Amino acid sequence: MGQVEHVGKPQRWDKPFGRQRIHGDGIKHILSLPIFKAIDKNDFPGDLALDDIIANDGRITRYRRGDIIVRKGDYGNSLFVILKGSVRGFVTPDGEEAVFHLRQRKKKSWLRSFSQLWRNSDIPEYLGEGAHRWSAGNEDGDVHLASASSISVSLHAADIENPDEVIEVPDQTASTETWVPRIENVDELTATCETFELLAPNMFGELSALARSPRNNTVFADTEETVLLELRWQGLRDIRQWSDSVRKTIDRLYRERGLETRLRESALFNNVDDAAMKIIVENSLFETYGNFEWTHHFKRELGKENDGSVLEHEPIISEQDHYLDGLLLIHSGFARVSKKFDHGEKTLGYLTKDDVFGLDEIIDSLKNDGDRRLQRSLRAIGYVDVIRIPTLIVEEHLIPTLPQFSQADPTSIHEGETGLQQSMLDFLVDNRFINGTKAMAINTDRCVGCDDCVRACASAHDGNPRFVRHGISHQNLMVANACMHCKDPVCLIGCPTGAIHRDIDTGSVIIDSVTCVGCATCANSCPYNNIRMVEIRGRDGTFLTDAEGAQIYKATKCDLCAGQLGGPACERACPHDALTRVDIKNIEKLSDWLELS
Amino acid sequence: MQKIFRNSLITVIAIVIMYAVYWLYDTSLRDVRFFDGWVLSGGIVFLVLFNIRKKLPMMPFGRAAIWMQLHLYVGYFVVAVFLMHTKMSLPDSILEWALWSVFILVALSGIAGAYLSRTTPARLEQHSERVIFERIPAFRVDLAEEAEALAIDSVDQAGSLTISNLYVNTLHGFFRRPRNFLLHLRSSSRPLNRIQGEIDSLRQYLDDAGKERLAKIKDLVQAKDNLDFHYAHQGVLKAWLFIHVPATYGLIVLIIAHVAIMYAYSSGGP
Repeated sequence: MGQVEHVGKPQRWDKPFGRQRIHGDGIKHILSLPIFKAIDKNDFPGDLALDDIIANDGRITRYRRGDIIVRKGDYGNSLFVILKGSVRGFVTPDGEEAVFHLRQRKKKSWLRSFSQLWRNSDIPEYLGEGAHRWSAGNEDGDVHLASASSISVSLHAADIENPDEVIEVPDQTASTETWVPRIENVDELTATCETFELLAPNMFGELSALARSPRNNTVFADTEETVLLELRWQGLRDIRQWSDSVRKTIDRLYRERGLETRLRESALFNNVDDAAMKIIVENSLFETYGNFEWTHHFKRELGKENDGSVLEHEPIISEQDHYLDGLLLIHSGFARVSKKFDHGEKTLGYLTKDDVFGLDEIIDSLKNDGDRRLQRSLRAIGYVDVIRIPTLIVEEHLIPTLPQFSQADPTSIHEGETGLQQSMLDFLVDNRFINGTKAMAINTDRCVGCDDCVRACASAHDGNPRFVRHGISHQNLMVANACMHCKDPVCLIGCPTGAIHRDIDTGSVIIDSVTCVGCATCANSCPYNNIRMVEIRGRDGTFLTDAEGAQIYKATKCDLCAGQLGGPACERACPHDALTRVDIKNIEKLSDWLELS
Repeated sequence: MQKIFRNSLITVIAIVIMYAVYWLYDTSLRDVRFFDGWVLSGGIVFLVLFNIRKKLPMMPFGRAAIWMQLHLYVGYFVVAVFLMHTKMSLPDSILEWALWSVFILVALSGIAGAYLSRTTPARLEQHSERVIFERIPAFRVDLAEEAEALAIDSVDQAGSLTISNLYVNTLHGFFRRPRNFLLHLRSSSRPLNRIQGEIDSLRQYLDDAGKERLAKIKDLVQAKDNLDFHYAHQGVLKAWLFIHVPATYGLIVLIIAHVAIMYAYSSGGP
């Protein structure tokens, strides 16, 4: 007691992205690449030098032919620049289907469902002999994952490259391992599935890295010697912020590759012709608000009394009474709509992907010829990406195309007309349950605590329940600790193997237990603590360990009874209609079910 | 409420139809006991199917909530058919007495269970935070340890015996196991008031630190009382099934025996 050990305060770059930092000549080589060569180093502040960003937030990775670099649907957090070789991506979904056939779950037959009565193991977290395939490595140390067809996928250690060979830096010897799935038969795959090719020094993945949206394509290395610079989003965001040229390049790429498609996804732009759309696309701005790593702060705050301070942590996107400088389309994430009320702010509702903010005010200002002040505020809940379309562009090119000039703001369904009491709305928004598309809602006025739901879950998951019948409550609603299959599933970010993924057919967030390496990244990322790490056991009930004696863990969570007949067993098993899986956005259904109205 | 009214109406109509058929059968001088007996048996078999559905949650046999509603209203219908079958009279043999008694037990426990399932959750909601039944013993141990630590602390830190005496004489027993089961079922606050009154009466003997400890102990007593409340009500919610389900299996066995004897000694059917 009494003795204090002084250590340096942890800094952002204590641990670089790669095994070691990229050194001087390597940085010079990278900065000579087309995307970076126009950057003026003097634009960067002294404590955030461009060289430091590249050195710490970049890493160079070598891939062999067939190595999968990014997977469609996964949440990306880095940009890739091809330094050597080429990569290929699938144009149509059949490529992904061929590669990831291991992820497609077939529904169980009636007989197989029934046989679970006696086939479920008495041993908790016993995955069965067939599920231990991760332990069967081949001569190269690769781990075979699946071989149900001639196109198979394996997992192997990738080289986190020594940049010397590529960018001629003599004194670096970095080497580490990361698990990379590989397509074994690239020729067969490219012969049967339509693909596109990208050569050095092209880049890809910038949109997903910035917008934290799912990857649009699966991309794999097409040459035996494919070398990529991977720049994590933190560095990319800083470079984009301080360098006009990079921002323009990325914005241009975004406009070229995805903005029009993105806007067309919104029903608001249904009647906009091509010429007008081109103008809208050219004038739109892509903006991000909030903290990308909001989950950690949120976890700390979870369950604390809300005295109004929740809003203080939510960055303001547009403020009430300020100038109406555009229509905001939510690209991803969530935003809170609020209005000043006495000495605080009252939540009117929330916006999510494809919702717009400011349309009412623009229409109102056109009608009443004048007051261009915002009537409400918009704040980022966690992290949100918005597309801002300037007011004048909206007035000229969007408003005339709307079927009824006086139509109400499409977002008003979430604003003040939710049919929920204010306190219930605050509860759902403050706790960010609005993220849930299949949240487990329990009506505590009906729940008798019989645990039929828990038993049903266990029987559908080899005897292991995948949720806890407990959670945060407000009035007669309890949101139980079960995976909510979030609209914005942050648990997907950073999974090294893609074990946690969205099901192609249903959109549910599923963990492939064979591919899971037990790193707990997803469990730590889940803001709601709905993913649990479990120790895996062998046939005789003993805990499985690796060669070094460390226990084998797997991430587990609710999978909505994927593969089972009839849907989620928990919901079907409740005799008192006290449990339902609900999309929180469907306020009307929730309200009716809770008998609040 | 609309659902309850609709389902009740359908049940009443079904009972009326059943009685009409029963009356027609009876007035046509046929042996109505075989008819209403088989309807009764069929109804009971249907009610048992609900338990089988619960045992097979992985099968796509429909939502248990719908089964539960059917179970409930078919149950009322079966009670009505039972009254027709027995002609509202008491049995006259040992086997029939057994059958009659077990049926009454199953029916009453079922009705009681339905009532408890409807009323208890709301009662639990009104009485502090909902606690998972299986976790109550662990919470109780935590509270007991906290109370004991405060009592020891009062002796060690302040040399006062007031709180430790209270703990030894009253609180140790209170925290050791669930208390006042029946009083909690009646939602009585008498036992809590008594202990809290006793605690309040000791404040005058304590210094500021002692009063603070006493206040914490009072909170722990309140928390323990809440646990007891939940234990009593949730316990009853779980316990009624331990009567209803085994008695149902007994009823099935007795029905089989009853049918066998009826056919053995009948003239050959209706």
